[in-house]
Amino acid sequence: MKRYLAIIVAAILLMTVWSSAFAVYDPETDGVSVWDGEITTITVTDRLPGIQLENNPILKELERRIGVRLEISVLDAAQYNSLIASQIAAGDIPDMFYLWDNSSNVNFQKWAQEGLIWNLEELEDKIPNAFTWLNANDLAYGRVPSLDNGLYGLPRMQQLTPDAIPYRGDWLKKLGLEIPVTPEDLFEYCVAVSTQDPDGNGIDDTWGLFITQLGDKGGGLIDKNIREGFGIEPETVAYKVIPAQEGFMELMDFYHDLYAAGGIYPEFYLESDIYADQEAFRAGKVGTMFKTTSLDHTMPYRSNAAEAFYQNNPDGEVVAGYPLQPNGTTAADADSYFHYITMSCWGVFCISKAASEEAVDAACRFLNFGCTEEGVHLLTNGIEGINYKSWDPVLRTKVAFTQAEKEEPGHEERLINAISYLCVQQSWANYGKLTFGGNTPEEKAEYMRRYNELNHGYIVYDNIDTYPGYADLKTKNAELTTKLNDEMMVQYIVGGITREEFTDWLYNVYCPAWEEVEDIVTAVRGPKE
Amino acid sequence: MNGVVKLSGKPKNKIKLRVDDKAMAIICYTVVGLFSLLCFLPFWYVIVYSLEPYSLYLKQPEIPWPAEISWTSYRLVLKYGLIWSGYVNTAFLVFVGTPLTMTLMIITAYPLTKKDLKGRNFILTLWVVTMYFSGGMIPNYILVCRTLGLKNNLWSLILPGLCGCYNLILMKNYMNGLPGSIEEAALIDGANDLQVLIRIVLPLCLPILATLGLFTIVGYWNSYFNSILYIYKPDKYPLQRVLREFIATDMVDEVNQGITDVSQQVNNFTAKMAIIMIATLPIMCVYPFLQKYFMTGLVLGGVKE
Amino acid sequence: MPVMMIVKQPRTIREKLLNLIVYIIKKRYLYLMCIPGLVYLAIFSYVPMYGVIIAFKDFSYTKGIMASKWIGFQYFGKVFATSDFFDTFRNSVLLSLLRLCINMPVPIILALLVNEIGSTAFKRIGQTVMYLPHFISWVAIGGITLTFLSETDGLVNIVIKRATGHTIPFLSSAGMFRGLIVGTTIWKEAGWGTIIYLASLSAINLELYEAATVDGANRFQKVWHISLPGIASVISIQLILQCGNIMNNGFEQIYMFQNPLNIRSSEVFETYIYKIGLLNTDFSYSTAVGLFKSIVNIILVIIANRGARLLGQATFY
Repeated sequence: MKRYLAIIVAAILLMTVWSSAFAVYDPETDGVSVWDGEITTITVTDRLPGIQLENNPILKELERRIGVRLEISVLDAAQYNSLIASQIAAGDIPDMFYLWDNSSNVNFQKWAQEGLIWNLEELEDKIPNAFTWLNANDLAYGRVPSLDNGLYGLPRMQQLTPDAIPYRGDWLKKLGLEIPVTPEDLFEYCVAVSTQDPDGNGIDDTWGLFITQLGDKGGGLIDKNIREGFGIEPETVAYKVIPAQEGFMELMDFYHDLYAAGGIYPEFYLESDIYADQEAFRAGKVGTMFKTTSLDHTMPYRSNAAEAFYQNNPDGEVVAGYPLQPNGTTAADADSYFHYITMSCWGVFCISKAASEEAVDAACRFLNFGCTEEGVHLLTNGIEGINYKSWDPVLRTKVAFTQAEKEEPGHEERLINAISYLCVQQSWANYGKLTFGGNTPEEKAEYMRRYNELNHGYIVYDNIDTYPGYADLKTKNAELTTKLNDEMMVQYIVGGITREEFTDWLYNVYCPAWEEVEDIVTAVRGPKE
Repeated sequence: MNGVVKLSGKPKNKIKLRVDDKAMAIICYTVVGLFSLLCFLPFWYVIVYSLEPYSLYLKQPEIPWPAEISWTSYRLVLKYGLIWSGYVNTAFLVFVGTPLTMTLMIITAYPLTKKDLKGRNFILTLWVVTMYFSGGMIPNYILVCRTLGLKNNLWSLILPGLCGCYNLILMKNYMNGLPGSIEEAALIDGANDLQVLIRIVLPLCLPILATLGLFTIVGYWNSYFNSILYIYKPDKYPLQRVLREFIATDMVDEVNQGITDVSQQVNNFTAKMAIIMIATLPIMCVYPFLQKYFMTGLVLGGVKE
Repeated sequence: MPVMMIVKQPRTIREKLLNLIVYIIKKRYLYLMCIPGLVYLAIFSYVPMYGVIIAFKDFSYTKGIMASKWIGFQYFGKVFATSDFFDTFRNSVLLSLLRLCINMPVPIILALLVNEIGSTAFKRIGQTVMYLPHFISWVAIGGITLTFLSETDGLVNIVIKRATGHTIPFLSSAGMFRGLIVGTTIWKEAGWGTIIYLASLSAINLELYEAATVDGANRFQKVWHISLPGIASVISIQLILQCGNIMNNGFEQIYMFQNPLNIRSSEVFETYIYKIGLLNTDFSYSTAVGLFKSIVNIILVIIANRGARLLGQATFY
């Protein structure tokens, strides 16, 4: 009897632990608070491309819940930062505004220095959630070290981009290969896809790899999903900028050889469209890509993107693989390999000193609300039944309406998109977001296991952008960075310049300019062990 | 009003000039024909791409005919709520702005044609300088949005650009090219400068009026840049801004936004093509009305030069 | 016939003033017509012009433009100090000159040819079609260009490959870049550029052509001796205006076609400044850049105007 009791208690304990792992926000069951006081209107300027603000159900719901009516001014997305700076220069400061940059922005520092924006630490009692939701690494993005290290903007933290690389599962099977784990595997896969016509249509129109977004800090070429495979670490770990690390030349050589072997789409550098690689993948032109917003092809329900993929590739199959591991790792020990993440900050919210007391209160209420599960859900995803069809609490993603459902008469509000830029935080409290679940229940279980073990075991490193002195160094070397990203790397990869020319420029011109980084990191982290 | 007779066609003396007539015909038809074809072909492909599903485009971009017609991208774009407000706003700009601009242009250009008018060079210099120097975003913002209070007002898209110096100079030069004798005759007859302008000079200016009218209409139709500075409510955007917003997310690093629902990104290649059609077709319909002024010659009867 | 007039020279300032007032009253309509334009100029062009000073100041948000600290030519120094400046500048100037020399004559020739076309229908359709590319923005046209000119799967290269066995690297060769820009600009703007010339051609007195026929001129001679001189003044003005635009290279177009492989020729002033990103954060810097460009432009306008006057052609003044 005692034994059965013990088992039952153990079972209950286990279930509690198990379910608390899923104790996340479920809009259907969690209670929703409603505001019962006066509604305050505040002026807000934000960067909201393509959002309809009239009769927006999310804004109405926001008003209902926290009593804040947002009078939003929208500035052009492409020139947002200079436009908001002009407005402020002309004396037109909204109560609250968003800056699409972090504390390294020169204008932000000026506003703080000239006393135009609130130091949010003085308002801490009004925005308590922000200080519990965000940790010290996150908050660093809103601090101005040159002044008093005050928190002059609330950082808007970005959920992780998926740490996975998608591959064509059907092609892997056809070519008799396993999901790539190391750069060697990837090399083999890419060359095979390029040369062995896996889609079987007789035309030489498939390539292994497609890379875009070259200019954005090295972007696709130095994506974090491939860095680990070459031993490249974040700057704050290596005490060096990435191009100065050993693994960087290995990575460049890898690309160079792969291009020479025909494994990369030959004109990848022409595409300025940042989604070009995803489009190509969806069209069945390439076997893999690095930058991807989500792997919803692998979702059990399909988004429009997945729909497009399956339309073009009726027999296609997408599988996700780990970020690349160094050569010599096998799939068996991949699980225990050390991973790291660098958080990303997508802008800061500032409150103007010129705003009235009620407006400041209301703005704080909004920001405070935005740092809760409820707030993140409302602002990022919207309202169930209106902006999305249903909510999957396990995977913590929404099931969207199909285009046909959106266009159903009588449901025009379905065409209104959720306001992703207005959300204060775009990540769940534990930063995790499972975005791929595998194609079979076993795979899903495996991904869940990896997610729970590994994702929580990821070590988060801060971004060097927040270290004082780095922003100035970056400004000073802006041309060099542009030259590296926009010319030298690609020229070497496609064979436009020799290895000697590249390394010569790299080690004699580029890297010496960044030697200060060691001092900058040491100043914050202490000497390298 | 006599003296203006429209003639079309060329001298009909066939026998003497046949050889060079033919040569000219061959050259001009071929060159113009080829060039027109070159202009039309990509546009045709825009139409084709806007009608065919994206997957087909990726598989076979060269086929000049949509294998499968799908109106989805048009439906998608037209269902975008801001398109209709965009049309209305741009229509306001065109119908209100164009007459104002043309009027201002005419009355400003005419005095500048009089080379002997005292102060004329000075005034002309004032105009030319503005073509090259401007104060920048901040003072313009202060002027338009704060001093004049035109923030979010469509008039902020009309007034600042009301009279462009480029068009002004073209008009002035055209007027200069008209024979001065008619004006002199009218002045001697006792007409004042205003009457000369309205009754005599303007009717002779039809080609340039049509041209600059077209330029002005197109200018207002394409109005986009000023709206970035002065308009902050999406329902007041002119059409071009609406369309650019539609594809704007393309130009910006949205990858790390983690937008999981890719269906929110309605800008794909096909939608872009549909947008080109939607933005271009209406303005192309304006042109045929003004075309006749470009094509026929005017014979100024009653005045021998 | 000149008339001799005995004019009494005004001796005192009062008499000069009276003469002036009489003159103004006599030409009152002309002066009245100038007024709305001048009011518009004053408000919208000259009032904001004080903003040019930002180029010489260290801008402070709280002090505003006028009260910010004066730092003189520091920002201009920054402009020239960037290491690749002369390469970039050379690219900008070369590209502008090429565009001036090649893109100017094309609409003129086209307009002359269109004018000679006999069939009204052909004329109409041809013209309408030629104007189409003007309305498509570079951003939108980018994808199509890539599709057609790509070496891997572009239509143009597929055809060329079948014919000659090689592909032409339109998009990736530094050498071809300038040709690409000039070619695409012609494609986009030449048709639209014919409008102003056609309008002028239509104003040429037809009797001149008849007279020439009587004198025995053939078609080509008529074009050369009647049509062309008839639009000479417009050409001259257009030339001056284009000279005044030489520093503006069409950022969107160049940015669209720029890629790592052709960047040695494709990096021009505007794209360089844009990529360094200083424009986004620094008003003073961007105003300094704009001022520099404007000064060069206006110097060229003055030179071109002088040149046109020497040649006896129509000028700005």
